[in-house]
Amino acid sequence: MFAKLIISDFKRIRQLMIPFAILFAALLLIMITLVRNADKLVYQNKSETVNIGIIMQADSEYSNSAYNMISNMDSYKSICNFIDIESRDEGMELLDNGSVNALIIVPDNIVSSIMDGTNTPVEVIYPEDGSLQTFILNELFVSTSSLLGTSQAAIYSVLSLCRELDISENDFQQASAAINNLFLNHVLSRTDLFKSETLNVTGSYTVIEHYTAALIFLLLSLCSIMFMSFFRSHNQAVVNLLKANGINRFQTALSQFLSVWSVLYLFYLVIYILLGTVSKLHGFFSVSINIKGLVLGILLSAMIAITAAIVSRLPVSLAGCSLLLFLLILMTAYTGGLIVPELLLPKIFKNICPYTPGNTILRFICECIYQ
Amino acid sequence: MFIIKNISKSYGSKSILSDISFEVKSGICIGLLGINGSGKSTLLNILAGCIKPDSGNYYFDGEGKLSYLPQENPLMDDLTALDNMKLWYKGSSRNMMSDKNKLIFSQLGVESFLKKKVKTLSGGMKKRLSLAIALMNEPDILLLDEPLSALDMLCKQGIIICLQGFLADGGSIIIATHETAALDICHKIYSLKGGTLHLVYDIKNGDKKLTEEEFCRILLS
Repeated sequence: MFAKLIISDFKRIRQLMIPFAILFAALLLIMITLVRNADKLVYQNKSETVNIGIIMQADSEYSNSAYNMISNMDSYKSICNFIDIESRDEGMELLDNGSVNALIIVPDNIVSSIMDGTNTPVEVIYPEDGSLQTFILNELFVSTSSLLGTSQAAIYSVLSLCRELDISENDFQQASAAINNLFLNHVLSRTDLFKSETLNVTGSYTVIEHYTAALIFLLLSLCSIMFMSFFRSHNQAVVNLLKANGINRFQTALSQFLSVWSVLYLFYLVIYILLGTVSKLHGFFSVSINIKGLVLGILLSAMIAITAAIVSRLPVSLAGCSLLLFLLILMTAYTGGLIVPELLLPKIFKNICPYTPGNTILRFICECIYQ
Repeated sequence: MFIIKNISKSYGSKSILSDISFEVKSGICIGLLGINGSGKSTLLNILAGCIKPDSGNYYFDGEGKLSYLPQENPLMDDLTALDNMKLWYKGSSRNMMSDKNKLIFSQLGVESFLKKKVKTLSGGMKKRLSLAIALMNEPDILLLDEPLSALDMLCKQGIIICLQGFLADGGSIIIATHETAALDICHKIYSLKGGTLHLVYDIKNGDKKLTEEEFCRILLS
């Protein structure tokens, strides 16, 4: 009887293939268009300068050098517009109203503290909800501070050498001043030493690769909403009669699941082979057809089919279940960084993103389909 | 013979069936009368194996097969009539179109819409198809829950004739009904009230057939 039920469910789902294929193709077309333009959507073509407020609490020769160094660096010059601010209160107000994207508070003893090793930190304040600009600024600050850290390490190395050579205290002080001058002047003016790094909000994958992986998940998940009616189609008489014939609710659900799983996997194969072919012909991304990718499809289709089957059994109407599944998919995709990349998510979602099912799925898809 | 012994069923503190016992001999049709919620469908569901009784048992004296036609048609709307038959047929689908079954399908007039999707069929067609499915497995006893409800006279007549043929071949029927038309084929009629059975008609005792008035009085009493 169970085998007959499976055959019947396959016959039933076969009838949904044509509308499913139409929906699949329509969504595929929309998503491919979005994916191809993902670069523009995320980064945009026009470049906007980022306003950074600087509060210099002391006006010394070295502080000005540090300021000039940063403001003259190519990497900063292209995107940053530095604004001198008088006080911390004024800076916080500008930060709150969005006039500046970050606030740098340089302490009055910044240079002397570097020289004597006290290392009074420079305070950098970002707004509550980070953006792409915030992320880029943070990367720039990290690379700048690492350069200063390196030069500081070099100063200490030379001073340590002087100590070992057992030179007089007077000579040591002169050497220390000379080295500090030499290194600080040298480092702070050597802006061309900065290595150019390509920053990518989607991590080690390109934006197109990121959204292609997201497309696979979203496409199959959204199409699974169509199967809600399939999961809920048995009336009570059918359920009772199946039970009378030794088929319990779990077996009924299993039979339906197998049908939906098969269809989802079939369509996964279509899109996987399509992406692999496009990858070979045009090289937008590097999707490779391999065993990992094929196994991924089995797991992904199973997971989506199980989720749809569970949601369809909730004691609400068909429309309610479909809406719930739709919202669940959107929430999984958003919190997982599939719609907006992880680094551009609001702070609260950014913190939880790596631990969400959506992000795990995304990373798994990327690992399996890309070379 | 099909024997039902001391079947009881409660939902929470509410007793639905209390110590129900009766026997169904070969070629006999038992009618169950009762208002909505009196427990007729529950009793048939128990006998079909869909739900478990709290106590009591039921069995064939010897070997026997049972078919159940629930009140709602047990059909999958998005399959054809033939596919539904294949699903419920206990045996290889190749043997489904035996001469005996062909005769049943012909009597019920289902041959004409075998390839049509169930969702395109009328209520009468669906009921005839459901009955054909119940009969095609050659049961010894047929459990029918309101088989004539919401059908036109012609359709009812066709079903009654088919059931009479089944009884004539030695089959037994337990039928829960509100329809006086179904009483014509009953050899015994029980009224189900307060969870207990009361015999209201037995052809063996020489009782007169129930009139519509008496039927209504039993239902309302």
